[in-house]
Amino acid sequence: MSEELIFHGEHLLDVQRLKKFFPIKKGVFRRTVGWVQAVDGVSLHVDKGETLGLVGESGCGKSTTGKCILRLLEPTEGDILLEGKNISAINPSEMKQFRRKVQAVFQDPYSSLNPRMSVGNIVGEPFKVHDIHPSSDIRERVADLFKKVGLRPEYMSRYPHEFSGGQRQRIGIARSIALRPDLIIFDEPVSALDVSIQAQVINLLDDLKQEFKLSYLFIAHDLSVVEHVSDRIAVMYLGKIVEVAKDTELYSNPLHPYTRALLSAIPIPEPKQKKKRIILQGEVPSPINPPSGCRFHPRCSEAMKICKHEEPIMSAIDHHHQVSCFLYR
Amino acid sequence: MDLGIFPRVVGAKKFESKKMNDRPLLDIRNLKTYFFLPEGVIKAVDNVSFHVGNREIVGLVGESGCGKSVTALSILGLIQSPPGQIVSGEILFQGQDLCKMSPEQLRKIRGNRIAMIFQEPMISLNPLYSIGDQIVEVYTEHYGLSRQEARKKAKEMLEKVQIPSPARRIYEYPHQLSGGMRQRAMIAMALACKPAMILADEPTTALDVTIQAQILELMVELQKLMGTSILLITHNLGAVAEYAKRVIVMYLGRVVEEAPVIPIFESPLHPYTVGLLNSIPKLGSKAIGGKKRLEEIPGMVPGLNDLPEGCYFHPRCSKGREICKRKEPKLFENQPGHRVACWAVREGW
Amino acid sequence: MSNTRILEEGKGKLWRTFKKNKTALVGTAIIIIVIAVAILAPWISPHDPLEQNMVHRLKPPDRTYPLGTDEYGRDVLSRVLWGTRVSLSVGILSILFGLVVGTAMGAVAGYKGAIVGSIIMRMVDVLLSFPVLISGILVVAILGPGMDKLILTMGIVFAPRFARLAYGPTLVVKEREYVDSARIIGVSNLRILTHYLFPNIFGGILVAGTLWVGTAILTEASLSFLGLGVSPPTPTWGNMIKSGIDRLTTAPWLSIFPGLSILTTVLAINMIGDGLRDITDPKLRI
Ligand SMILES: Nc1ncnc2c1ncn2[C@@H]1O[C@H](COP(=O)(O)OP(=O)(O)OP(=O)(O)O)[C@@H](O)[C@H]1O
Ligand SMILES: Nc1ncnc2c1ncn2[C@@H]1O[C@H](COP(=O)(O)OP(=O)(O)OP(=O)(O)O)[C@@H](O)[C@H]1O
Ligand SMILES: [Mg+2]
Ligand SMILES: [Mg+2]
Repeated sequence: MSEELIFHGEHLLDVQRLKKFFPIKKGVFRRTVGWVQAVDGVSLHVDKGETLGLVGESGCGKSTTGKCILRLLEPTEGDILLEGKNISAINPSEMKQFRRKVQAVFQDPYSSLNPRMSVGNIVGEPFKVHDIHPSSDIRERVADLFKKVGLRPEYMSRYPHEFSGGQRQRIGIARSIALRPDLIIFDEPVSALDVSIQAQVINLLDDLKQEFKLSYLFIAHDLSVVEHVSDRIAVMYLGKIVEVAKDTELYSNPLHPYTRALLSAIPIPEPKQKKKRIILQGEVPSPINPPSGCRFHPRCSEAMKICKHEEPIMSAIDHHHQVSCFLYR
Repeated sequence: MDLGIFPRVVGAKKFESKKMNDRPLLDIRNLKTYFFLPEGVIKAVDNVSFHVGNREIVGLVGESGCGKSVTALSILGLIQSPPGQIVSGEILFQGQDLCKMSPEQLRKIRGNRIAMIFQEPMISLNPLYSIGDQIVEVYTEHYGLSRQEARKKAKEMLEKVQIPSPARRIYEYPHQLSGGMRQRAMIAMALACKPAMILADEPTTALDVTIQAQILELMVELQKLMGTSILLITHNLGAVAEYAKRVIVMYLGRVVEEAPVIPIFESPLHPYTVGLLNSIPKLGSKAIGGKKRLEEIPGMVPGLNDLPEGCYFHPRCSKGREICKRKEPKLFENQPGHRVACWAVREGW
Repeated sequence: MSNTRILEEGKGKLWRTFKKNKTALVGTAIIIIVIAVAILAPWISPHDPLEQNMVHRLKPPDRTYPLGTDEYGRDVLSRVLWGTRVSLSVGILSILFGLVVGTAMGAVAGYKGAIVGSIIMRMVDVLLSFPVLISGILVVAILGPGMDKLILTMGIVFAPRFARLAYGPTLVVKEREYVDSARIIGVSNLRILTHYLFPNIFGGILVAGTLWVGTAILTEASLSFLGLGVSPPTPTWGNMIKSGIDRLTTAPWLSIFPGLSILTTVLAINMIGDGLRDITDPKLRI
């Protein structure tokens, strides 16, 4: 993003060493017999006006990270700062402020809208909750939002099931921008949509970002989509971030062996272009008993002795590029 | 991926384009499969014709609900009836019309000559039997092998699909395997009977990209080795570009374009195919040309119970003219092997 | 999908859908009649329901006594008409009371989870281990007899049943993304319960609730029979059946007519319940 947009001194969102472990309970007494180490020491930041993409395979902890930031889950450890303010220790009125600043759109357009509420009420709900507009105005505001996201205001009194997946996603987006938030967290917002509808929604997100000067945290597993929408991309593997880089840099100069494998695994719609494919051995290990040392080492073709025993730390290759791998120490 | 037992295959599209011998393996002619619902007739597959040659991988692409799965189920005679029914058409498999066969004959063909790999392996694997037993059963049923021999074969098969420590896995139940492993087990089962043809309906959609790549490579490698044909149903255009030799594009129950893979991706003719290709973000394009806005196909896919007249795509098409609203364009051969159903292409406007 | 279905908007949509549902309409008609009977009982009863006439005792139906008389010579028709009052109010009011309290308990327990939820549900489980009648007897023993007490009693008896019923669906619904979405907007817990959870679990509860109106009417009968409900000379359908049951072969009219009344009423309420379930689900609205 251009320099003048960067928040002075501090980031809009700053996540520091975030951990979230889920207990595994067994038996009659529900004893805790182990932990799912879903997120294990994730640090990331989002600057004003920026889109940070977060990619990784299923179960690597992307949604859990998002939910911790949204305060839907209580982090096990770590700090989350919004405009420099730690949100783990805020009082209810500050919480309400926080809710106005950070919004979200989820993957499943079918389950993220209350089926018993008309879509007009769904989109108007934030106004009601935060008492922003007199109720006589709400309809008008909602109609505006509908137009913004490309829905016809006449549809306001319909119910979610009367809309297609793409339209429902638009409804969710309309709701998320209602309060003019600073940051929107998207958790796989287009994964459930048809190819031809995906493009419409992605373009809409781009337009809204421009118009409202929004910042996005864009979670997805589809690297092509993430690359398209993001300014920077963080690659996650088994609860940890392994590489962060500028969008084009990540593609042209991937450093972590996992990033390279991920990039090479994506089939591209260009039949003539030959791709050298790195096929990863085995599968993503379970976050219950993650491998020692570098979590990627059992599948890594370049694993060294040290990778087994020591955990690599994030090191900056240059201003725009950090990687957590012993190859670049 | 290092198989050891198999020669390494690079890139699946390097097939020699040898002349099709007189008769394709699978030849679908004017297939119509409708669902008769109280609200009306759903023409899920409407006058679809295409063929799959011997040892050929054909990609069948299209958006959700365009009738890809119904086409596959029609081939297997698995259309739920009622409400579904194959209304007319022929499905010639090795010269025999599957539509005219008795359920008993069809079942034989299904287990034996045509295998199917579904998106969600859990629905096709029996949760009550170990995966070993399920593969063993294929061998005892179709080849009349003794259980002992069959077990040995099953183990070999699991090895072929690269399931680690097959001697142990053979006793495991589907729910004990991960998604990727289950899909491998599914492939093992599908290949056990040495089918002439595999219908793979979104075989990797539910899997992670890295696992997806493993599975697709594996399928193609085994396909080469065993000489099977594959109908690869997917909405992942990348996978099609990489693995298929020929591509069929469907829209709302009709075939709108059919061509070998390179023309489909490099010089697509139908506005829908063009739109589809332009609307997907391409990995790395930003590094080359900077950020560009994605092209969108306007509007949305209409419901099958509310289809427009004429060409189904005309309400979303930028090239649409009067005739498109009235008359359905028929597929015609624009160039050898490249068929398209579009007035604009046909009339050259 | 339904993007193609253009819906005409209007206020009367709910009612229109309900009207389309023939069963529900018939049920409503019957219940309106029953309620009318309950209100109009003093005027439409041919005789005084309490007036004894030993000369005419146990007469089969005839011109003067269309439904016959009981062992004290009281007119069965009048007693059935008057009995409507007690049965209907006890049945409906107690279930309403139980539904509101119980559903709230179950929903709170499910939504809050953890310790609060466990405590509530353990209590509910203990209460549920007693059959309806036994817990009814226990509560009445504490509260004492009388119609208002009876309604309260039955409400208390049914509340844990509603709590159990609401608990499971709440657990499911609270995991839905729309609940998370609501929390992200800043919707309060109370509003989440009333606007997000409750409407989505209500359908099933309503249907069970209408079924239990029948159970409540029957329980009232049993309690009344045991002398714990409405005291004997006041007619209720329940105590009429109970007292007639011994003479089922010799004087079947004593229990058949109040029985038929219960059957009709319960059936009608169930028919409405089904209709209500359909209209509370926007998917089924036409
Ligand atoms: N409430 C929970 N209790 C226990 N384990 C959980 C819970 N939520 C998530 N997990 C586990 O935490 C890990 C990370 O889950 P998460 O949903 O964050 O993954 P993800 O990266 O979003 O994956 P996907 O791409 O499939 O959405 C997984 O192993 C998951 O099983
Ligand atoms: N059993 C059925 N009864 C009624 N309609 C059906 C039935 N099966 C399929 N259809 C309809 O047929 C149409 C085509 O469905 P099909 O499953 O073939 O789509 P698809 O192309 O495989 O989509 P997807 O990519 O989502 O798998 C759909 O509109 C669907 O609603
Ligand atoms: Mg997720
Ligand atoms: Mg399908």
